[in-house]
Amino acid sequence: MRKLGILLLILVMLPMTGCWSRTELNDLSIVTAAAIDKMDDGKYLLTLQIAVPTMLGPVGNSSSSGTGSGGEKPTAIVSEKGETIMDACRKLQKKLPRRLFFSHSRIIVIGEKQAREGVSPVLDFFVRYRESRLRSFILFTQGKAADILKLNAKWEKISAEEIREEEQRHIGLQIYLKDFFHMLLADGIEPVAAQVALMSTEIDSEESSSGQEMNAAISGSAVFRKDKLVGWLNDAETRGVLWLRNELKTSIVTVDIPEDKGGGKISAAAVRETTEIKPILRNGKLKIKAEIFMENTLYENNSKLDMSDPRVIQFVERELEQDIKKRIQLTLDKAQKTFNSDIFGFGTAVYRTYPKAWNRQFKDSWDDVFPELEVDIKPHAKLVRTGLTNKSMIMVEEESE
Amino acid sequence: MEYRTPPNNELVSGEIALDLGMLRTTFERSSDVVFREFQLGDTQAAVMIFLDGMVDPLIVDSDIMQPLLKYGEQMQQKSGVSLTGLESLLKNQVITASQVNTGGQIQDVIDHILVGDTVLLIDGVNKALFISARGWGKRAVEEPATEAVIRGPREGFTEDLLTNITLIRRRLRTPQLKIEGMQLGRLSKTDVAITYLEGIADEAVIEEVRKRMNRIDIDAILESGYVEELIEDSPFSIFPQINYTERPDRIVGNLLEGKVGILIDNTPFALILPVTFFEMMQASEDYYQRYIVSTLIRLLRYMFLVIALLLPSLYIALLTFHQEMLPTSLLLSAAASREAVPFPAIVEALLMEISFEALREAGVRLPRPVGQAVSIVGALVIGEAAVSAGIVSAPMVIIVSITGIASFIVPSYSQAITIRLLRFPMMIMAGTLGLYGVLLGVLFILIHMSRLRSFGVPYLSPLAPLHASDLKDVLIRVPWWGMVRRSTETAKNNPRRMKGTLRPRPPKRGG
Repeated sequence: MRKLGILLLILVMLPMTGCWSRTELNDLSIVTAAAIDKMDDGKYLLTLQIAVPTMLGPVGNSSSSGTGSGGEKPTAIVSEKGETIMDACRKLQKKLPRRLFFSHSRIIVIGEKQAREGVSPVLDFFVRYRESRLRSFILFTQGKAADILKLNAKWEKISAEEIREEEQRHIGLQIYLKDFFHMLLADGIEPVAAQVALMSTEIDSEESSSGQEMNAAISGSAVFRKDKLVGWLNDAETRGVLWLRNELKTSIVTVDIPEDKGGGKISAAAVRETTEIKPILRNGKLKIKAEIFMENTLYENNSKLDMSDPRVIQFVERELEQDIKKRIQLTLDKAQKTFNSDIFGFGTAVYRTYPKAWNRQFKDSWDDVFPELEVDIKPHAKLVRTGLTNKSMIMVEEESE
Repeated sequence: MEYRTPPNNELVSGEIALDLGMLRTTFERSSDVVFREFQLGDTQAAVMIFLDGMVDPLIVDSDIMQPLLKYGEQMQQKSGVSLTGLESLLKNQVITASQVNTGGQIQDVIDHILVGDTVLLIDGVNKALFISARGWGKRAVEEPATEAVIRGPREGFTEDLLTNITLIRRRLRTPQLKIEGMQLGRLSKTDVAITYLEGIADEAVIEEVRKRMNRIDIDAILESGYVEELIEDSPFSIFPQINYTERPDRIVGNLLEGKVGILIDNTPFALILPVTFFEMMQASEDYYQRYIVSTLIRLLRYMFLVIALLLPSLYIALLTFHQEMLPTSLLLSAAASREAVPFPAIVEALLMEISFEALREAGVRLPRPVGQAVSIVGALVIGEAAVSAGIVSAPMVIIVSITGIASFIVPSYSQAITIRLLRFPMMIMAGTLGLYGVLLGVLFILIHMSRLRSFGVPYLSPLAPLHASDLKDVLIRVPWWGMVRRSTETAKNNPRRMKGTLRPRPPKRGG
């Protein structure tokens, strides 16, 4: 009887909590992307992309006819300015019938103006707020960040999802919020993040370029010193960053074959790549040795080289190495001379190898040491597969004549 | 009024008019009692009493009446009938029926009439002859409806106890198989048999079964469910602590594990005890199919057991408390489908689950011709119309149907219905406390289960307490040549099942 009473009490206690923190799905505004810009009056402009569930129904239902009529978008763009991000959120909330829900915001875009002035003040919200995710991609854009969110989705239902998928293709830098903070806070490495830009999906068609065929592209990267943007790297230079940060998954290298060998071009794709950064401290002089190992597959050959000859393969390998070295050097020069920003994490590598020397000698003067650092780039390319045929089509044709 | 008539202590007087009068009063207004009066020779009055419909008229005719009348004639021609020792003479030399007993008490006479024996009273003899010529309409041995198999014997128990015992005996031709008979129910006088394998089953358990069975004093036992509830360990638990089956091969398999079976007359369902939670997840077919297939099917069963218990509550918890735990695109499509639904997820889920349970119950009760029509309407209303009317969301329909299917994958029906019932408190927990509530509910169930005992055997054994060697037959089913030992809990006296390991191997080369 006593036991029964206790059980009854426990059962009565359950509904007393009153479904604490219960929120129905229909009462949420699911934020899919956030953009932050600096206003001219010093306030922040927070722009959010919010999913509109009624427009997201299964294909073939009423929603498909809705998109045809136009005007009914699966996302809504809302924006508000505020002294802080939270302030802007509060004001935004007043305009919305449903509670803002940040857990599914997978993209944070920050405009150039804000980035140049420093990102730490705005990012604090995203570290502190319990709904935000550290596994959101952080992206920077030249111009206004809000414009990126206004994009119409073509493949996915929501454009933020498109950008996220694009990030995961491993073409550009993949920087999550947590990686960004890590680079910001760690010694001997400076933040770098992907740049997103609106690009026309076609080129060369002059008339339609003014049309709506725009798409968000991950192109290039934003380079920081501390939390301030110092400059942009273009696509080719970003490859160099990826190479030195050992983040490259695949890459296509095209080399020109000199005229005395017959001319033409060869394209090879790297299927396996690793980069080893080895700091060498000798007689107080610091040197960085960057060894790049890659295995390539030949994808295209329109030169006159016969790939069945091992000497030719060796020659192509040398050419590949030269090309890679050139490209990395380009990036390195820019980072060292133009930006003076150690986005490759050479400082961290030095600290890991020579912790005492780092603390004593380099830690405080790294900004002066880095631009003058001697970096020895040593690529080791291997051509492991030449595809289904050896000779190129041109050669076969000539032989048969 | 007393719930039964007091026993009649009088003796058979030998004066047929007196005895017959007493019996006629006892059986007055019972139109199925037949009093067949006849004469042995010319003078000797005799009466045969039996219940119409419970005796085989052919046997009565050829094995009792004919020999008796012929004997009467012969006696008449010789020297008349001598009365002393007549009953044993008849028993030993005249009546050709196989089972004949004698007795001197009126109560015995009444009892024997009621169980279907034919009673013979002869004027001047103060003993009655009880001749077994039972025979009544029986259902044939058919395929068990609730435990159908693809591979395995198709015989199922019937309502007749003797047939059932025969079905077991045919599978265990050893004197070690014991079948202890007893009668339960003051009015029903139901025959009950406790069966076990001597030398394998634990004596203490058998003694405990006897003790608990002897405690039963009730007016009638109509089904094994009566006995189950009267002898189980924790009467307030929602979990079944005694298994039942209508498959003779299943009960024999359990006897070989050292279990005790209880067969009850008038029901095809026999009880098996002691039993563990995991045994209720096993089907007899597991042991007939290839072991790899059986193992995979078993794992599937456990997976769907969890689904049957938790899927709706997890869905509710994720949708109303932990939206961040769903992948973005899944959340968006869930949000899209829920947009038109006016209820909170918990109400929606309860609505659907309760209608499903109602449909299931209706499906059992409805007369067969109507059943189909109703289930089609039910499926249409729930599946199609409710979604397009915006009362429930499409994902909820999917969840409910998967859960519905999942609960039927549990082989033991009583176990399945327990899980189905537990789903509702779990859903309420999920709706009020989210995943935290789900976890609390699961913990509560686990604690309760680990406290349960079935005739001294822990309900969660061999996992808790752990018997490593018994794990061969819990989540997986090892091949038969690997089942060297019987289960530790019930067959500790005689653990070895086979001689060593009997794994087939190719013959040695040149050997």
